[in-house]
Amino acid sequence: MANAYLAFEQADEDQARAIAAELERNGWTVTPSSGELRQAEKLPALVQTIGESHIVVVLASRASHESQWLQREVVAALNNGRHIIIANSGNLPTESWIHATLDTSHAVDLSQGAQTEALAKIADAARTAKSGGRVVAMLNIKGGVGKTVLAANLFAAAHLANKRSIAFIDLDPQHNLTQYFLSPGERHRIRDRNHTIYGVLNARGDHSVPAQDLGGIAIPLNRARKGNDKDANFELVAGDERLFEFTLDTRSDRDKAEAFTRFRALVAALRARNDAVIIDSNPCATFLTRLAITTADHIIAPVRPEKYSLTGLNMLEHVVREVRGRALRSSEFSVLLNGVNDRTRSGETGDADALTRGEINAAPFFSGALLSEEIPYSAVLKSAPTDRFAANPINVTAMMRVGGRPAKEALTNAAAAILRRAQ
Amino acid sequence: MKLDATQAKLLRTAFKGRSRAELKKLFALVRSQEDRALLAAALPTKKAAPKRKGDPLVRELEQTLKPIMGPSAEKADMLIEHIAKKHRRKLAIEPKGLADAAKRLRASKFTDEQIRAGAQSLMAHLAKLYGDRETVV
Repeated sequence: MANAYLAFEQADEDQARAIAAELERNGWTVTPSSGELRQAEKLPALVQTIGESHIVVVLASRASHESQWLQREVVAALNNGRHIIIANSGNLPTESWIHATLDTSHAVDLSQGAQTEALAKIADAARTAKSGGRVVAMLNIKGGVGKTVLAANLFAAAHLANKRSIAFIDLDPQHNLTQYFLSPGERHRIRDRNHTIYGVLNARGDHSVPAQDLGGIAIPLNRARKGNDKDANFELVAGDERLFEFTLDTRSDRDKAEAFTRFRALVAALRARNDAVIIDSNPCATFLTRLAITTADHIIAPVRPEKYSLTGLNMLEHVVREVRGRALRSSEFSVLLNGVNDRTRSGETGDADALTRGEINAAPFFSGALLSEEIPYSAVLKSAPTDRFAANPINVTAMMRVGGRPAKEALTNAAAAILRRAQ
Repeated sequence: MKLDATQAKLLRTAFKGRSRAELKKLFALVRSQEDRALLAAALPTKKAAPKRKGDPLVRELEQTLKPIMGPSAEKADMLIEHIAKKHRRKLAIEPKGLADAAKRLRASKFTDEQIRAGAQSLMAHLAKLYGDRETVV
């Protein structure tokens, strides 16, 4: 059963009761704000509860504008990537932090009270939020573990073998995912039109994409006009090297807050039309990593069979805990062994830094997250030859190239397992 | 004329295991025939190159469109679309591959030369669209 957290103030209790009853009638389990959790020493439990909810309904009013606890609940919801539904009781001050922090343009109007029509709108919004695709972030603080190539190939396999609709967001300033799929000429044209993630994160200026067009900047990656998969999306929001501005301290807090809101809007638009939104993140902990962590329903950490990967994993767990304000549950997380062969599988490499499945299993936190599927070392999991044209970008992926059958099977199985876990 | 050690070794290696009578016969044969006839008889015959099957136009199209990554059906689609645009003709053709595309273009009154030129112009068009290389700043 799906969980909803209802954030409200005591002054709005009647409306909150009506909303909770409507949601429960629609099959939701509702956890309302309560004095029990709103205690300084119970803050971690409050964040945990919000983090485990599918949606958060915020009852916006003058009382909630003045509430520090409601502000904490909204921050926890944002940091945990929860979908937020706003019900505006009508007396919310225009200068409220709620307007500045959340997109109140789609708020359900409760100024005439909690009438049936307004309550039905809230139930509808909750249903829509639950039915959208899952957001999956490819993350590892260590670089070179195969995040980008795996992201492209795992979900190309899900698209081609299981007809899944997939959207990628290239959130790495090095934009290797974009380079993997698109030729330099095409990338330049996209960049000239500002149809990259840089245009999304900039709320103002010449490079900004209008807010209503955010969902429309994705580039189709499967341009085949035939086949059963032509109706399923396979698209990319291209990366841009100018993203580095958001990794340095050159951008103001206001810029970052606007970037955060616009990124959430982009993810919401892509979720609405895809089975999965895949965020390829940069291998470090920056504002961009925060965007990925706060919007992701599920995190995939690829690891190479070497001990340094384990350090990256440990760091990742710390970073996620810091961003979300709570510990990561192993069900929200998948560890995927990448580039294994018979020697690394058996641990007979003789290398001091070799990492085996058994060692990951022995680590208390990661054992529950380690996927039984693994990706073997394969030559097809490399970049496409540069002297060839990929007029249809999906053709550069391993699934469309000749050979590498074990790798293709492994990719299909791993992608299916990840999408099952992400549900 | 006496043979030196290297020549003697060469002969021993070549005729190893033969009886005296056999060797005498061989020497007589070598003396009586020309080099050309001896070589033709001794060396394995060259295999004649197998005659290639299929349509030479299709082979040429495959070679021209080889730099495009993807299945033949997609290449054929692109070729048809490009030729249709180039000749300003509506072609309701959905080819299964390059061979099928060539067959159906011929049926639509396109000459081999036009089809060949279409493939080359498609490659030039794609090179313009996708052919940029990464450069070091």
